[in-house]
Amino acid sequence: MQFWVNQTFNGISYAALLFLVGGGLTLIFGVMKIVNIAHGSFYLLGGYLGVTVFARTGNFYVALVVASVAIAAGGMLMERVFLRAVEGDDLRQMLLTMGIALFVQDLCLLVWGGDPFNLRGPEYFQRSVRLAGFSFPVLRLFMIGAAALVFAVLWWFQERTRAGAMVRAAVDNAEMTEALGINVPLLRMAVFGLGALLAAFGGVVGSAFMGIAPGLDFEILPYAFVVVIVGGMGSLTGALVAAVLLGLTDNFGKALFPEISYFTLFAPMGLVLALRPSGLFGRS
Amino acid sequence: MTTLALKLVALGLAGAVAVGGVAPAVHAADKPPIKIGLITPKTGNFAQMGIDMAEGFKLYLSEIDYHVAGRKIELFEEDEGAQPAQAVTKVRKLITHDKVNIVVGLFMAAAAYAAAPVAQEAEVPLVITIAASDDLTQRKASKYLARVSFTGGELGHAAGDYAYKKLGWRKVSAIAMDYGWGHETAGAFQRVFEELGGQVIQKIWTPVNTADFGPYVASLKPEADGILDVVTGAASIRLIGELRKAGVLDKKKVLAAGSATDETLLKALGDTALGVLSFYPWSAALDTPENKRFLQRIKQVTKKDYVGTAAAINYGAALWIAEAIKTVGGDVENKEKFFQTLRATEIKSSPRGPIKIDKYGHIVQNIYFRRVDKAGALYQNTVVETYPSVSQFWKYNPEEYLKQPIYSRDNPPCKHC
Repeated sequence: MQFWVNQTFNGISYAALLFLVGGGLTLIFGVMKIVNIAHGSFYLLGGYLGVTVFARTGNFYVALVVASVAIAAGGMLMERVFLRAVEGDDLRQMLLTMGIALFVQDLCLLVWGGDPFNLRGPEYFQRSVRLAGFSFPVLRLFMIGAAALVFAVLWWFQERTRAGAMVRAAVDNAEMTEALGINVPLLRMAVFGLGALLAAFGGVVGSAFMGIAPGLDFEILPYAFVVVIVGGMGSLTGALVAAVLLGLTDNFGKALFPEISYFTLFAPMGLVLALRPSGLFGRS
Repeated sequence: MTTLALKLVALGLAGAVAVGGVAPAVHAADKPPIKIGLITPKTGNFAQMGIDMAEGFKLYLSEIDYHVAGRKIELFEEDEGAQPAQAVTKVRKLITHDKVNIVVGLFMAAAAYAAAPVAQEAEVPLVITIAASDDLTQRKASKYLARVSFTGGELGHAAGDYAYKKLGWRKVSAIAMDYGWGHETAGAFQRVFEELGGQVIQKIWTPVNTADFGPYVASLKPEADGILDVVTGAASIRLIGELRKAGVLDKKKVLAAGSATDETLLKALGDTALGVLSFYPWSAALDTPENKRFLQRIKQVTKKDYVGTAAAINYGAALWIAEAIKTVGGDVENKEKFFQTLRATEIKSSPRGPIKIDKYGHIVQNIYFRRVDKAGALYQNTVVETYPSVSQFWKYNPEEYLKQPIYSRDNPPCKHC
């Protein structure tokens, strides 16, 4: 019993982090059709900025907000200056984001050096709460809460607000949406910024969970892509379901069959691609 | 005032040498500089490691003012990158284009394996200062290669002995990275530990880029007396943090391969690692005059509170190479003699302790058992036990040892799992 409760809880908390990273990418993917290789870089930069701000202020939530907003601004700038210049050309867009990812990698090495950092966060992150005889680390509870909150806000935004309706319209038919007098380029910039914000948010939370070090950008990227592909491009609900699925399979895979933990992580992706090429919640 | 006085004395001495030793000085000046090729990662995920390596190496060279045995030293630095293929191209470039007399460095084991035949063919000594794979100086030892870092097996043997005899462990869970470093360190530990009568009751191999150690920590067997940890780099912060949060560290001791609590990680590990034991050929807290002097000087260069083992090892490597050059009177062009002398060169005291090379090309050195403590505002690896002059073959006969296959996932097999 202890085993199943522990491992399920671990899996769901890891899924929360996966959702934060994959959720932003699925937005960018869905609305802009951009394969954003620099998504991991937003995560990395967000994490490093979070560590720096936390070191200065000692307040985790200030670090979370400052890093997320700063990276969102950076993301919007990147979209406006670079990506718009090659709009509609998938391959160039991808190569451009790849170049930016490599640039960010070296930039981070220059600014923060190569030694890993750990974002300690508030003191209660190190504690556990006991509930019905089981122990739950506060940090993992926080991750689950943060992901749930982010999902709720985004879902409300997409489904219940006028701006959300515009985004959905732009996903389905950008030209028609533009003809209706909606400023699609501005919308795209905003969505790209939102995607970057989510990745940076994930980066700060992730730094408290697993530290931040060179290379994490490209370590986290495949996970984000798996979430997007399994969930279906552009679908937030899909990203959430995929993240939970992956978090649980990864966790039980590691615990029950530690020797084949890569297989247990990527096998669901293969299966989904074979049976539903557009993902669980994707529209073809 | 004193430094000024010292400088004046030094100047005076230099003048006296210049006047008194006109003939040899002129003779030495005729000779071209000795060329040393230094290859360390400067880009990619291991860049900081490469920077530390180079800083340690260059610190010693600057202490001798890039001069040894009357000849100038010219240093050629190359980037090992993150791909073994690139590293080998650079080693080849150093040898054929720059025509270096000796190649030093290498972080990746695969790069070192591939570079060894290149050096061998050109008969240029290759001194490895990090790459830790056992067989580089064992079953695949090559003539022109020497290594002054450490191997997983060498450390693991000593740790198995320490765990059984000093910690009194009888049952151990091992959690190790699923590649050579983890296999060799855990395998060597298991061999010695079980020959003494202990049991390894669980071996968990974790992928190199494990993000979440939660599931592994939750599946650790409760009956183990202690935990062997062979997880390195940023992942070490995750594992130790998870062990702390799950309460394991309050109940059990963790004995880790030293790279898990390397000085470069101590700040990020913070309080979570307090009390973690580890084994490594160096510690910044090593209380010797050589080490204190080294730390004081290297901190002036790096401007950091924490200096890692890579810097200390590479400083020692430079010291050892310079000593060998002195012994051959600067005649590095006689390749055979230079290399034989290099291997025979012994250093009595360096920051890490004595340095000497066995006949397979690997260092014989002290292994330190350390404990993470807080000293004032900073963390340190307090040395709690020293195993002096440990051989890569432990106490086994080298010939018989080499007949056995290299340590791997299933060698030795886990009989008590």
